[in-house]
Amino acid sequence: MITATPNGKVLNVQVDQRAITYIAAENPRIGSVFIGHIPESTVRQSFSITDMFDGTVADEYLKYDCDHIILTRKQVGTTVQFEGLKIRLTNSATGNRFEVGEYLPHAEVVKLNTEKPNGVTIHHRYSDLANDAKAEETRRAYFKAIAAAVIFE
Amino acid sequence: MNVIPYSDEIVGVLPENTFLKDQVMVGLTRIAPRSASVPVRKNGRTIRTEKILVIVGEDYGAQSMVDEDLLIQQKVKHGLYFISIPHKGGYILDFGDTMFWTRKANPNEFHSINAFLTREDNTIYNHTFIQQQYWKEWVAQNNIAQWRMPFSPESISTFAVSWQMIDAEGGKWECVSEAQQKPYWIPRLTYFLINNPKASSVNIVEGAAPGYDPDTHSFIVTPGCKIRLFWINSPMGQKEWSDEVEFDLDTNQINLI
Repeated sequence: MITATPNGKVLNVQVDQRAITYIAAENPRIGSVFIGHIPESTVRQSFSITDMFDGTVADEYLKYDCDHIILTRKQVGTTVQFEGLKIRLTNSATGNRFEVGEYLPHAEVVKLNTEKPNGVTIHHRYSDLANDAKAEETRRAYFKAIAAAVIFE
Repeated sequence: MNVIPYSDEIVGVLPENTFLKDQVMVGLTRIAPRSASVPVRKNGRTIRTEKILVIVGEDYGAQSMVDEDLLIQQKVKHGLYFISIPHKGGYILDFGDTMFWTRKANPNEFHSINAFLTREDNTIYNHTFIQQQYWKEWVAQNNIAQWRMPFSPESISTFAVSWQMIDAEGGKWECVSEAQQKPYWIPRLTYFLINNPKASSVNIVEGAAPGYDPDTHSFIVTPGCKIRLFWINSPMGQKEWSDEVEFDLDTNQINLI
């Protein structure tokens, strides 16, 4: 189970033992360019996250200004099990920069999502983001760039 | 040896870049064009494709930055033109095709290590500055075990030094015996841990041909020779980061490399 507790500029996260955790941006962009990004990852069971670069001390730093998803990947017997927890960047009256969103069970994390912006088909699974090699994200960035460049006559 | 005080000028930090001195790297993103077949659509249908260039961005992780600029300074030193964009208390440094993300260093986190050399007579001294202080003084006053490199929060740093000589023809000489010298090859970077006296200085002796004498820890120099120092940090047991500097023996000038 993933639990996350906002604490001002920092989000404290707790995950199961032996899980590898990835903190992936859902819409990583610089300007209008979608980035094939490498999620921050950790093998720690308990860690903190911040998106502030002002000297706030945390274990992981988020670069992109968008919602993120905390993904865990764990070997269970002969299978790999995923879990996800959506987190949002926000300005709240409490002073917390993070807001905890919906929990995603394994089936939701591995589900194939398909979008067709401007007629370009882009497949995507949340589990693609639990990827040290970023191969899937690079592919997705390429197709997002194509979709954004479609010519209309 | 004479200890000289740190200044931004002598280590090559330009006045307009001093605001980056307390920053460390968070990551690196490259933007590059790629050829793509892009649909041409009319009335809701794709009628053909055209080959154009699209812009794709790609993140590079911490391990791809082994021996890259974890402490941001090298890019700052080389005087490359960039635009700094304030970003959540840190900066995005836009070099055009490369973006560096930086944040303010945490307490006890290395953010300023500058290799430096001084000369007194026939001795070249390792005068590296750690956190803007002469390295021997810093090591004496601080506990290295409590300090961390930005990408190695769990690992204690291991500092070492490597000396090289570059002769007038571009040959590279290391601190190894004649039989092991490979002057025209990529250096193997033989190194000395900083508690080894050979890390503190190297001697120079004029001779007929370039070389190294392991008995006296001396480079045999000829006109046109330069001495290089690599200050290396290996927090995870392998060389992760280094800063380097060159001393021109003919002009007694520092070259930032």
